[in-house]
Amino acid sequence: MQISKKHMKMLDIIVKISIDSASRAFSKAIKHGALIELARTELVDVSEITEEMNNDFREMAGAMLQLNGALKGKLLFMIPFEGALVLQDYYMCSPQGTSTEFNEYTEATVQEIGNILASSIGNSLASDFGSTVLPTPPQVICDFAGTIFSSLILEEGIVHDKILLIEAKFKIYNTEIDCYFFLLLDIETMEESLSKLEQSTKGT
Amino acid sequence: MKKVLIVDDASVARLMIKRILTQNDFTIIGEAINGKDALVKYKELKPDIVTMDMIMPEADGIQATKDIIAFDENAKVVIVSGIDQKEMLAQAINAGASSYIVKPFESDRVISTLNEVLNN
Repeated sequence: MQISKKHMKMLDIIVKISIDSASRAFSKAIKHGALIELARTELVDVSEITEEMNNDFREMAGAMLQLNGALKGKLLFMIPFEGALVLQDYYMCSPQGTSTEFNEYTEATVQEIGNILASSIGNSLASDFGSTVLPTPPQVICDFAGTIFSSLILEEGIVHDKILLIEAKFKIYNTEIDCYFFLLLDIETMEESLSKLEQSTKGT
Repeated sequence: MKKVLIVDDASVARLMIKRILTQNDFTIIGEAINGKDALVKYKELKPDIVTMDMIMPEADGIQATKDIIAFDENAKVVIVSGIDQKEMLAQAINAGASSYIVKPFESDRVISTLNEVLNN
């Protein structure tokens, strides 16, 4: 199934609004200013993006979950270990540098950030599409970036040559932490939802 | 001091709620990590109030609330969730939840909501 240019533009706007909402929720959760910058929204070749991620040899923690309801998809939040430790200190209200080793609390921090992002994006999409979009509980994976990313696209890669990829980076307070955030939307439900949205806005 | 059971699959979220409540004259009587565990702990510990996450493995917060209310019709359950969608709010209230707090939350909001539910 092909996604039209018009729908791609609509999606780009909806994603920007969702990311802004996620930024606010994230800032509130860590009680510090955080900015999620949208890097790209595009249809990409599965093979190209896999190669790109496989060339990143950093060890990372990822929270992966599914979105169900009016819009189906998968979401992956991925952060290098050292960045996760910084976030853990923010979350635990500890002075920066307190957390030095990746442990169960680091994992739980990544899990909770995945929860907040997914809920926030789900809420925003549900509001736009006038229905329900619910996340599943996140699954936390610790591995190399390429391996984590592969588990995200494993099933989609079998069915599709191209995937819709939304990539964003995080900037937190006065620290820049490279975090990655991928939203892999099911093109069929996305087209349906965008068409409904288009029809509903025609009457306004 | 009022006894609270905290239900959330994320340990960080449980820790944050615990920190807020213990600083405000509540006693944390127990913690549960999913909906099934919540019912078991509720029966065992008989808390005055429950804070319940919505999205959890095993049984979700809506099911757990229904199960707890079926066991004790006077149970006080407050949903604490990142989900801010009308349909889910309606489902939570229909399940028997007394109130709903959207995550991320302010400490004051948690305290005032729990006090309000307990006093009613």
